[in-house]
Amino acid sequence: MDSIKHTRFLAKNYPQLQGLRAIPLSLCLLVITLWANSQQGPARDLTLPILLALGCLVFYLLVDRYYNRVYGRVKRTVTHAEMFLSTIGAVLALAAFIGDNLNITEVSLLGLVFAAVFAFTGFWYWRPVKSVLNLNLVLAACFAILSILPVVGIRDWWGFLGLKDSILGFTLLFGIFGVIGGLIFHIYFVRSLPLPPEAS
Amino acid sequence: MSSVFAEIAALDKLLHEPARLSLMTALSACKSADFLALQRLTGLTSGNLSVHLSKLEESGLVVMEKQFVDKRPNTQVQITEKGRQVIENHWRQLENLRRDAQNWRPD
Repeated sequence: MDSIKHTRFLAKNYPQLQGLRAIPLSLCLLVITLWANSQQGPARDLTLPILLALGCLVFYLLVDRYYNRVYGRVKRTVTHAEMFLSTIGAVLALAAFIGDNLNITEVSLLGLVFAAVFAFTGFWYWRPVKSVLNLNLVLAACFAILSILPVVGIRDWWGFLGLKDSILGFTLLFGIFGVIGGLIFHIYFVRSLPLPPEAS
Repeated sequence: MSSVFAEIAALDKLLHEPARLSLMTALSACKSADFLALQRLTGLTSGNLSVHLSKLEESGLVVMEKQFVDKRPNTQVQITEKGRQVIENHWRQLENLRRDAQNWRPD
């Protein structure tokens, strides 16, 4: 019974468990954050970030090809609720980015949105895998705490990372956790699949 | 207890075979999957997988579509509406059986 439930879980979340897919986007976020941090004043030459983004796109296509060739393709059943919530998340992230740029409040709105994303994906996708759910909740708590630090008087935690502002701090952390999480998910995915008959 | 035996005997033999049950469960959890993914998910050899999928297709529980992806042959497998109803009904029967077995008390 448990192995059947496990098979169902794997089939339902097959593309999400292919963690290497998250690495190109996370790397893109990371390197563009570092590039943005190195700029003095408004950026005039966008050649480098565009090239970096293209490099990450090529990397993603290679990862996609690897998974399709080695593990096959599973098309997920995407529910309306999932599409609706993803759209809401994207709109909130954009609004939070604009809000943080305008310094509406001392609380980092982008950090709170990232925290919500970690908590939501934890409950939505990874409830059956307690370790992943717990990891998501810990990350959500960390991002939420970092978001409200300026309110309690710690105003520049991002300075410890050598960054200019909270937006860069959160995107850098999101990128780093994206890369680490991608590797963990990939290892979990590969180890969760039954061994091929020849090897078992 | 005889009713439990009757319930067990009434289970769909086609679905109750472990490999086919595993395949149908996997297919009911997604929109479609290709041959390689099903092989990875179930750990079956390609020969075994082929035989089981053919039986499920003959019964109208799945549909298979052969195509070329990146110049390579690719078989997409999708559960039918009938297949979805049959596997859900089968799971319900199994859950009922389990519950009956747990609640059974000697007379």
